[in-house]
Amino acid sequence: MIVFDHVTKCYRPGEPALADVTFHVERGEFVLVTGPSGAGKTTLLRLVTREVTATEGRVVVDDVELGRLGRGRVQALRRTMGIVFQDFRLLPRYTVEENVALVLRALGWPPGRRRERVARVLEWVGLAHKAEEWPLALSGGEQQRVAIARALAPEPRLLLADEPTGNLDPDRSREILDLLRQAHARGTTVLLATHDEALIEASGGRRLHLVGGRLVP
Amino acid sequence: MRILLESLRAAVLDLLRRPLGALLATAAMTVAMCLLALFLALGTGARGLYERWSGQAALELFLAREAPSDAVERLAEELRGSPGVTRVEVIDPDRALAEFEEAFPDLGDVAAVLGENPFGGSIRVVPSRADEATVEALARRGRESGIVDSVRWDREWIGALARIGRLLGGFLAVGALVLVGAALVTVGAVVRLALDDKRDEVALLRLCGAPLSFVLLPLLLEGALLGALGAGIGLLLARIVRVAVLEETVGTPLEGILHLLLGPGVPPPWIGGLFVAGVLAGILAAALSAGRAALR
Repeated sequence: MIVFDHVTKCYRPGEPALADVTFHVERGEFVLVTGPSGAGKTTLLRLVTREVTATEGRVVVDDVELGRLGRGRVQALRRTMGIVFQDFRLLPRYTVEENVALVLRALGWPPGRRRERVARVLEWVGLAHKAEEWPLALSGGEQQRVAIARALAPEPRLLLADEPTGNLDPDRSREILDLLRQAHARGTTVLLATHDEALIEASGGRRLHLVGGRLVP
Repeated sequence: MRILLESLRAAVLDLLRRPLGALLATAAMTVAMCLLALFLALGTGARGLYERWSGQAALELFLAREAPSDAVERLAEELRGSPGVTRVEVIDPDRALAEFEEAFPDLGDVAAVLGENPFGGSIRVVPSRADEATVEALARRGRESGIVDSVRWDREWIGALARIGRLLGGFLAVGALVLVGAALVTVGAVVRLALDDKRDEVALLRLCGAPLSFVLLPLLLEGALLGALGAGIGLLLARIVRVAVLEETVGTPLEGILHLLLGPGVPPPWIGGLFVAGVLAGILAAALSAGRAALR
């Protein structure tokens, strides 16, 4: 599903954030991208979402080489992905359900189907009773569960999670991992970037370890 | 249609979230459109006045006192047959005196005071075309006849007035354009503020694969709403000002000229055009200020 073929990404000449990275991820896999801060985990995810393009090498997602994509096709590709961020990125002026519904609205889901889907994903992450709440009234763990609900609402084929437990305590981190595993069990390919050793131990997925922008065994 | 309604709702909510900015942008657009409409009303009135005056403008060929009447008739007949001539009248000295007394009744009985009629006869030619070549050809023909002393062309001073009017109109148009430019900048700034206010939302939507139309449509509608509101109020205000000025000057020395200039008002198709221009200006301002930023 994802192919990195000798990918190098330099934000500044001569200072690669990723250097000659090659790997592939099969459909339905649960893959951890690990490494210390600054190892290039976020850059790797940003290459997959095509927020940035590779300086050298090829990034292929769903048989499409991202370096050659036009703006419209990038958006179409992103519709097949869900993204979870360390800082949740919930919009404070919308309620929990509006946050989840916004993405579906943007993707053109009709109102009836949208309501149904929002209710279902909020039920799934255990926050149906907080649908009318404002995000800032929720705890960090709850906010991240809303963010996961939002990412999974459009039924993406690929879920990208960038340090989703970075701001959470161990118990809340386990809850989040459970949700990601459930999504994986339902057939979603998961790419989880983290440096949380406890999470890495508990997840049991295949591991891509980055150090200084290079993949190491 | 659903997307349009949802975007319209988002645009209205965004405007209500920053009422002061929306008010400022609407006020700028209102002032610009109001002045533009008043300039147009003045321009329409001035053009009507010019056409009316210039339609009546005549070429006056003043005849020598000893001009034989058969030569005068021949010349008049020849001029009648010339291209670009609407009407030719032979004015005898008695009629010239009568016209003078009618135009200047305060000067009394001129003939009685002077002991004789001081006016000679003339041939009055009303050209259908006001182009210089036609008029010059008619005047030359008169001078060559040997019975014409001098030639006067009313249109010369009307033309001078028209040139002054065009110059003033140019200044007013530049002023109006500056105002519209300022309104565009204000509307653009308000829409840009709206975009800055929801930069996080736009970034998130772009990452989720939202089509550009979903991100841009509410911003463009915001510009359109500000433009429509400003243009609507501005045009209404211009009408109120015009009617008030006309009513307030009734019975004053300014009544005549103001009625001639402001009486006709802006033609209805132009009002519709100005309103559409206001809406388009709002959309343009929004697109210019927010479009590129939304694409990032």
